[in-house]
Amino acid sequence: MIPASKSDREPEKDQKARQRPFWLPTSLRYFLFAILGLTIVSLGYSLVARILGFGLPYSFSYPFIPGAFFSDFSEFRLRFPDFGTPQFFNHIGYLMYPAAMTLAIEAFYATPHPLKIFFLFLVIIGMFFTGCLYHILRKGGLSLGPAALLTAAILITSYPYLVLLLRWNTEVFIWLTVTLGLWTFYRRQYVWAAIWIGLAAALKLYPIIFFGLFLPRRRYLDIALGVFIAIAITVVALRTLSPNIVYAFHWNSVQLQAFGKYYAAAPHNLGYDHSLLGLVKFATLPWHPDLTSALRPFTWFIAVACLVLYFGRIWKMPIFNQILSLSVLSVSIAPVSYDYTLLSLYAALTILCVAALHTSEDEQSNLTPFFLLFAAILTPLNFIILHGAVFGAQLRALLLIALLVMTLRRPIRTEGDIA
Amino acid sequence: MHAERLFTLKSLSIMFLLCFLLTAEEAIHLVRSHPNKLEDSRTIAFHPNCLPLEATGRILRCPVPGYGDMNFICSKEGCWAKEPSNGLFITASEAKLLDNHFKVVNEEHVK
Repeated sequence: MIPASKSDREPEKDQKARQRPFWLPTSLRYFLFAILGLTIVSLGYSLVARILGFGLPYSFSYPFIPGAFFSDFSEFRLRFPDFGTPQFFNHIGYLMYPAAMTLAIEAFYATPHPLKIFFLFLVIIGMFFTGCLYHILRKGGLSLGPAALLTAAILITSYPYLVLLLRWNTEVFIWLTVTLGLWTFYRRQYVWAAIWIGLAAALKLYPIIFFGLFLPRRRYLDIALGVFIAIAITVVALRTLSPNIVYAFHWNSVQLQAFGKYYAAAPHNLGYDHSLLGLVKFATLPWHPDLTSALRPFTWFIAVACLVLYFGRIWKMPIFNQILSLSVLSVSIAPVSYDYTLLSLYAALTILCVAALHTSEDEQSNLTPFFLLFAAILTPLNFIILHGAVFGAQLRALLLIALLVMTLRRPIRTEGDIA
Repeated sequence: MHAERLFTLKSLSIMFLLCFLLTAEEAIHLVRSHPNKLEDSRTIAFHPNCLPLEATGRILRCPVPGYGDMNFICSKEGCWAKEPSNGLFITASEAKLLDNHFKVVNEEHVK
C-alpha cells in the first residue's frame, strides 16, 4: 500500500528535493517524457509520410474521413430547427443518443450561431480543465515552471481532446459531467457527485457504472438522488421532444437500436474504436463474420465479468483504484467506444498526479507504470498500421486492460482515503 | 536519480517545444489543405484522377488535398471513405451505411 500523504515524517532528502527550482516527482518526469516522446514520434512519422507521399492513413496523426470533420455536431443542422415539432421525427438518418442529449444539443441550436458557439464551448471546456489541472498542481506544491510545463504538455499531447475538436462530438458533455462527478466524489462532496453522475448517466447510460463508487460507502440516498436526476431529465427531454411522451420514448428507442444495428457489430472505424468488442472484431477480421448474433451474449458476459470484478475486488480497493478501474471499464465495455471517450480518464489521471506529488521519492517507482500506461493510452499511436489500416485503438484496448489489471493489483492510498 | 539527470527542465522543455512546433505545423497544413472538402461529383462511373482497386470498380483510390491518396467506396450516388480495416472487402453493413449516407446528403440538397 502506498502512503501518499505529505507529513512531518517526510524524509529529509525529499524536503530538499522539493526546494529545488525544478522539482517534479520522478514518476511525473517519466510521464512528461513519455507523452512528449510518443507524440513527437506520431507527428514526426506523419510528417515524413506526408513528405514522401505515402498517402492516408500514414500522412495524418488522427482519424481521417473527408467530409466528417466537425460532422458529429453539424449533422444535426437540418433536424434541430424543427425541435419540439412533429417534423423533428421525420428527418432521414438517425439520432443515436439518449433523449436527454437532445436537450444539450438544442441548447446550442437554439442560438443564432450554433456551430460557432459549440466550437467555442469545446475550446472553453478544454481551457477550463487545463486551468483546473494547473491550479491543482500548484496547490499540490509544484512551482510555477514545472506546473505550467506539465499542464501545457498534457494539453497539446491530448489525443482524445484533439479527436474531439476534429469531430465536434457531444462526448464533451460526458467529459464535463463525469470529470466533475469524479472530482467532487474524490473531494467527498457526495451530493454534487451524485448530481453530476446522474446527469452523465442521462446523457449516455454507461456512466451509470460510477454509482458503484457510492455503494461501498453506503451513500444510498446519493445513489437515489443521481438516479432520480437521470430519470427526471430523461422525462423532461421526452416531453420537450413531443407532448406525447410515449411516442417520443418509442422513437428514441428505435434510434438507439439503430446504433446496435449499424455500428455495434460492424468493424467500422476500428482504427479509433478501443472497445473490448473492438479487439474481438480485430481478431476475427480475416473471416469478416457478422457479429450481430454475438452482441447479446457478449454484453451479458461483460456485465457478469464487471459484477464479479466489482464485488470481488473493486469494492475493497482505495478510492483512487475504484475511480480508475470504473473509469477504464466505462470507456471499454460499450460495443463501440471511440477514442474521444478516453477524456473520461483525465479525472483519474489528475488524482494520480496529486498522489505523485504527495509520495516520497523512494516510492515513486510504484506510480511510474501507471503513468507510462496513461501516456501511451492518451497519445495518438497512429504508427500502429497493418495492411494500410491504423490499429492504434486495439493497442490502446490492450493497454487499458493492462491498466485495469494493475489498478486491481496495486492499491494506492491518496488524500481521499486518509481523510 | 536517473530520471532527474535525464529529464531535466532543459531537455523536457526542448521536447515540449519540438512537440508544439510539430503540432502547429500539422494544424497549419490541415487548415491550408482543406481536406474536409469532398469531391461531390465522384461516383462509381465518374471518377477522374482515381484508380480502381478491384474489378467491380466500387473501391477507388482517390487523392485527398494535402494528404496523398486514400481508399473510397463508391455507388451510383457518390463516394465515401472506405473503412480501411476491411481491406478491399465490403461488408453488408458498410454498404447499407453508404446508402443511408447518400439519403441524408440528398435530403440536404433538396433543402
